[in-house]
Amino acid sequence: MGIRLEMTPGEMSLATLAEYSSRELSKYRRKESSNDKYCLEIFRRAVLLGNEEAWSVLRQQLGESVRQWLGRHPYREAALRHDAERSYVDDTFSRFWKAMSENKPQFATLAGALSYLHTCLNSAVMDTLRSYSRPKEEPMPDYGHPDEPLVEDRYHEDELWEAVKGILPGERERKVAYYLFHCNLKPRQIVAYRPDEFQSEEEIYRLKRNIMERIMRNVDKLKWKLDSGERKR
Amino acid sequence: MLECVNVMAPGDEDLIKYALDDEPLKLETRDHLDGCSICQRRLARYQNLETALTGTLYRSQCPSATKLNFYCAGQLSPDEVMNIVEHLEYCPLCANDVKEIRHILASFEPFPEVSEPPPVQVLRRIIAALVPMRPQLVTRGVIRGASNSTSLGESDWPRQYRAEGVNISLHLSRTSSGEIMLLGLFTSDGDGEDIEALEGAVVDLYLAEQGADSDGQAIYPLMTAHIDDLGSIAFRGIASGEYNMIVRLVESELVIKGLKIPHG
Repeated sequence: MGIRLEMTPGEMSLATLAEYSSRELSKYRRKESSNDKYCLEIFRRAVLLGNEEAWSVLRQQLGESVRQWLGRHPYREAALRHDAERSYVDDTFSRFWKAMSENKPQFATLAGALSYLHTCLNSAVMDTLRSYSRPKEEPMPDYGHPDEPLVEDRYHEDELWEAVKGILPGERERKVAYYLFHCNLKPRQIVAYRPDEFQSEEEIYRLKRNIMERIMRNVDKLKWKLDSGERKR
Repeated sequence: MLECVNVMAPGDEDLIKYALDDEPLKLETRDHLDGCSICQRRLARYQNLETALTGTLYRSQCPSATKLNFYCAGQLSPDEVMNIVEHLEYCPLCANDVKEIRHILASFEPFPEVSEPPPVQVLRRIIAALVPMRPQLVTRGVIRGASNSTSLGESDWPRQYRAEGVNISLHLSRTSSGEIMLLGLFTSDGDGEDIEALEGAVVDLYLAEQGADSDGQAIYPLMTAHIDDLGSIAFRGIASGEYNMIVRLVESELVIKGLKIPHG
């Protein structure tokens, strides 16, 4: 009578691993006692060894779960207005792959791996919603020309912000400009956010007028700075 | 610099309020604006500049939502964490995002129980009463109901409700991209719920036809928001239609029925 040694997950073929993993995942879903090691081995092969077949198995076994998580997401309705469910699932796995490739996290438990995957789903949803909440981009107007036509120049946002900051006289104006143009806040929202710094909406409107007039008076200087930055690049 | 010497010409700040924040002008000022090409050009300058700046700069200095998610999950390097912590000190949008993300990640359950539905919790359900408001001037850009009447109809906005000492002010706004936002502000008159206690309370929005007040049935809300520390909520990207809103408190639910979002 011999002793039959069970293969370790690392020794199993991917097909066997997938079968065991699927069985244990079902137990996990039913909150029964289960063994994470098969699924974690598939994660290891996919991420650390770059095994594409292992990656496919992961997508097959967890794709439906990601779809269901999206179905329970608090922003699902808004998210689905902009893109299809399938796109979010695909985007989640793309982000997961990228994050795993860059950071190579090691998961001690299946719960940890699933949390990481869920974080990628949440990132996909929130990045999408943020991109659609962005105000429409327009070119900077030209106030120097008598008829004030719009010019076609478009500038990198970092350079524009640095140039705008450079012509604002103080920290207070720069803060208000940040809240107004970066955050697109209304004056009442700014006062509500920082009541310790700003006492009234009238004060914000006054600052806003000063900021906008200063930008309009200095638009040629702004454009020169931005054009210089472009030439250096 | 464009200047109009007419005594009826709006001041720069009034123009900014009117052009960019939909604040109404006095009737005579509005009449002057309608007929004055100089003031119209002044108005256009502010509008164009604001559009150019927000269009380019909006959240340009903010870390991506992905970075914020990994920050909340404790998956960033110390340097990245430091950068985000510094950014959160002055960015209200990212601070709010982090709050939402933490809540979402903390409440994540990969495979929730799917056996029997939970027993229906019998909560006191209070229908919030609509508070009549004084008629307001019709202003450009303010979202109104289909009717042109200035009398208060069910489709007029903003709307004020009251329930159990909680005042709920609801307002419609339109983003630069044309999306409709439903904004809410919760305040207390001192006799009711402490507003600080409302922070984090769930506010669900249902399509009226879903029958959100059907008991015993698990119906998912169309959208969910949480009351923040300022007592406010925001629902983004609302389509036209009729909605019910439920504010889920610890021992009761405040129900606002018949919120009609008009066509843009």
